[in-house]
Amino acid sequence: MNYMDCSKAGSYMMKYMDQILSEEETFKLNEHLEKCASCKADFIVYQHMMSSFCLEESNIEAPEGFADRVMCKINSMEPYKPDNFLPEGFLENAAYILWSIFSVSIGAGLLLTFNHEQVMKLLSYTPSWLESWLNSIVFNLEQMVMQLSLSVSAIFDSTLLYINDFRDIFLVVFLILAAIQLFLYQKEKIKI
Amino acid sequence: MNVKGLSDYELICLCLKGEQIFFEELVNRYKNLVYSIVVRMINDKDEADDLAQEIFIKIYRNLDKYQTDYKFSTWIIRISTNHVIDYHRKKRVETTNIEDVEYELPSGSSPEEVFFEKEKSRVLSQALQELPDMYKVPLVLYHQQSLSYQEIADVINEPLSKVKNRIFRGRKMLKENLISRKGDELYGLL
Repeated sequence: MNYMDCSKAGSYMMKYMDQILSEEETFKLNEHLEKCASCKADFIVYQHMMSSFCLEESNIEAPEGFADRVMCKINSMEPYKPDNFLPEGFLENAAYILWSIFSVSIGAGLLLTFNHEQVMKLLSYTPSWLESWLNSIVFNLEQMVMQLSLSVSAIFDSTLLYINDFRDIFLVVFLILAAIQLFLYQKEKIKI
Repeated sequence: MNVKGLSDYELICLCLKGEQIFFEELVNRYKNLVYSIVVRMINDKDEADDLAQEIFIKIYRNLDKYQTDYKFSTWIIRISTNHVIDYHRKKRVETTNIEDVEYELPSGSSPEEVFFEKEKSRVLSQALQELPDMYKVPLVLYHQQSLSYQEIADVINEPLSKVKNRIFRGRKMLKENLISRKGDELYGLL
């Protein structure tokens, strides 16, 4: 004979309240309740709880005129303003266009810098008015790339220096910041 | 335009385009749900009316933050429960007018049956009010609003195991509370 202890009976009572108690489990629980007065008393209270809950299962109706009262308040508020002053997706597109121009300029500048001799040779075959105009463009692009490469290498060098010295600290700080950011984002999303 | 044929999401989009009149349909769809949750959590109909209105204002103000990760009803229940919990924090309600709450009982019951059923509801509601919100919310949503464990987990943003645990523990606390009441009050009704 399999005797059930009171904690098992307790978990069966929870299953009973979830309405997922199997036939076999029901039989075992009944058997236990016949012998254990304490569990039987608990079960009677749970049954009382369940029947009281069932009395109120359906939704309670909102009072008469509730929607009108809410809409009266809503109508006194500012309606949402659609963003009509810019076409939809304009800002994203503008960012893409600017980024494309920047990339093409950098790419062209790099090509001109690395192939300076050949470009100059090619320019000598063009008419003089075009040569001077192209020369100025080539010069400006080369200058831009030069400045950029100097700045990038300076930033890169100093960053490397710091990273080497404080690599572990940076990593820890970065991870903490990322975790805080994620936590705040989740909290903001949930708690309105 | 047939407003009733529009989905919740379509109505939200129209509201966000400045057509606030469409919010009325959302209010009509969910007013009973919100009102039921509030009444069951605070047990005061007058206060519940005001709170439910505040909840709909809050829903309207935050419509642009709704994301389709969850059903709109789940989002609404989350806002409603959070709002009531905040209300409890701000105002510690010591006495609740349980007698003011009218419960709908099955028609055709005899006056005696109506009395005993009303008493059963009253005793349970009183015991429920004394539970901390962290246990009361899952119990109300599970037993009175018929939400699943998973839906409650989505509403309160806790793992499923925690929800189950709180419901099990909440039931036990409720049982202890009912047992600790005067014998004649409880056992007279059993």
